Amino acid sequence: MEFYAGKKTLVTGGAGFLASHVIEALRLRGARVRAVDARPKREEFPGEVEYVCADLMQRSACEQVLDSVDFVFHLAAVGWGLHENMKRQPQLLTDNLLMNTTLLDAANRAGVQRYLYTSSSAVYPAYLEHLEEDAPWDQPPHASELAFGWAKRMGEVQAKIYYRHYGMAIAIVRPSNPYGPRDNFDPDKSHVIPALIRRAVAQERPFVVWGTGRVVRSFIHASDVARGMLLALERYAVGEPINLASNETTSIADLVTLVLELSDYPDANLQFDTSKPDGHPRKVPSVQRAAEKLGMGSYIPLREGLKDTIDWYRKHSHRLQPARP
Amino acid sequence: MTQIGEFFCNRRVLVTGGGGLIGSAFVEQLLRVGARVRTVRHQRPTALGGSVEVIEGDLRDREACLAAMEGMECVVHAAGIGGGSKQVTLDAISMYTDSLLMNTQVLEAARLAGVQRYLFVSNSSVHAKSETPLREEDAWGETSRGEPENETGMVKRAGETQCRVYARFTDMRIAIMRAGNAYGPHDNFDLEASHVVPALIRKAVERQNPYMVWGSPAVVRDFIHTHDIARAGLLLLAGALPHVCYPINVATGLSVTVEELVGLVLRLAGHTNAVVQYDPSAPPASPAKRIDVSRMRAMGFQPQFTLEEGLRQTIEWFRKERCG
Repeated sequence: MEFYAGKKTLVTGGAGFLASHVIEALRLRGARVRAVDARPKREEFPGEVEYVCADLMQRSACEQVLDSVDFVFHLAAVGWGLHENMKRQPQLLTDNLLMNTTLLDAANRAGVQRYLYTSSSAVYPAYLEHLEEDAPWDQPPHASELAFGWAKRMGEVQAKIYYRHYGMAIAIVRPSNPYGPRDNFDPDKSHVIPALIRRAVAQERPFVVWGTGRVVRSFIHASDVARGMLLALERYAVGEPINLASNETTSIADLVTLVLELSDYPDANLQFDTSKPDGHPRKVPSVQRAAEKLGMGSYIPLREGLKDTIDWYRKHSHRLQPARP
Repeated sequence: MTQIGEFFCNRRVLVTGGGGLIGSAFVEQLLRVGARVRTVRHQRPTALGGSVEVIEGDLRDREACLAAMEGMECVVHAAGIGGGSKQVTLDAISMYTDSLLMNTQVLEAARLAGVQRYLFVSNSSVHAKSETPLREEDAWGETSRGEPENETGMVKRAGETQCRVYARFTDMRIAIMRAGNAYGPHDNFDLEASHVVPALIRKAVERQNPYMVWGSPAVVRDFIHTHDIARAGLLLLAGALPHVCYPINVATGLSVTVEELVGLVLRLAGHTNAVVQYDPSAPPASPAKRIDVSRMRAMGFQPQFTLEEGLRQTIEWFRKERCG
């Protein structure tokens, strides 16, 4: 029998990009989905999803949305975009901590069967290149993600304690650089891939990229993340973290070239501004545990995933909110 | 104490956990130098009387924290949900969740209320196991040796991190102190929840024989009297507090074995014919915890209590309490 069929499943951060892929996967497997977010509903899921607007920092709100829920996918995170986050580090830390702590405790008391906590590769110590799940947190997260990384770390510690002491079935996943359709293309909030796509489709010229382009990263398609999350809740709810990352790595220079090619803008006057900082030279998450424990073998290749994302952006860009002044 | 006296005279100071082991020592010294002290009480009676303002409230709650902060210039956050190693095993969840919520809400409320200075009382549990004396940077910096041993350490690390983020990005001036193993009056002497010093004192005063000791005689710790913790904490809080806030160890720099501690307590309590037995069922604790106090010394601070004087005073306090 299908594991998710008929299961009442709560998805927090339900109006977000990753959540939209999780909800899609859950609907395909017959789950009954309740989505909760402090933001308005996405237009992609009319009628199929019970939508609740609520602030999960409030204990009473958590208790309400958890009513008669079997499974929880906790994807919600407080944030205001990269720039604003840097300015509001204290609140970023505080609000995420409060939300994670309150929701997990309420879920445990409500008798939820299984719980997935979305952590992040931001928990890894800044110096680390090869990101293995059991690497100790002997150093703080990268300075640019100090507050966010620590909030995610504390959520993991809490999840482990609840697993150990209450026997609560909890999965902990650490996605690394997800991208895909429905990503955030807002200039103030977008990560590297949607930012590049937006600028390539707009045929920005010259096409200036910060840093040397030699930095190596791994990007994973959001539908692969969603698949990994569903598998993790089903097969690896054991209070141990698991990376969700692609087995493909790329330099930023190669990524940019690919985006330009797939956006039909190969003749952009591409320039690397080497006066700008590069970030850590290499961040490569291990995908071994995901292969062993979840059977994650194949991933959407970057070329295919980018094409998919660009197509979606071309179709929807006219409907996306314009940049704020 | 003149520096502390000048700074805190008439200053409005909130001490969280003011009825507890460490908080009560802060309250006592603040009152002595003429500060106007408030503390928050929750579900537990407090022996504090006289000129302390005691208000009721649950510090896991934002509104309660905001009410407690009203009109305060300084905060000493000494409240924690803690206990001995027996308690850590039993009650990890409430210790973790409640401490995390409380640290988060108290700090955020202090920021919202415009508190100027904030002291976070951390402790040496933030460190990983180590053979050599723990330096401040060993928990974080280049010489870090790994993760803390238990959830208490994790929650303290999170609390320190919150403080460092707030120090960097807000106008509030923040100090972090990392205390060694605290002991003194107002400790929890309930044997189910108590730390090693109050447990040993109680059993000695009650003439327990055979005299059972939980854990191994070879365990090494740095015990510091709460009077000295509070003196150091207030000195830090009154000092220059830069935006990059750095934890300071507060300990004696002199470590003793549990066996030596047992001998001292038995002698001072006059229970010299005790037959000492070590209970092997206790979970293994970190064998040795020595603390490097060079930063604290460079600050010009020296503890006043020797372990012997501190224990004698604590035993006297417990005897008086017991007789009501």
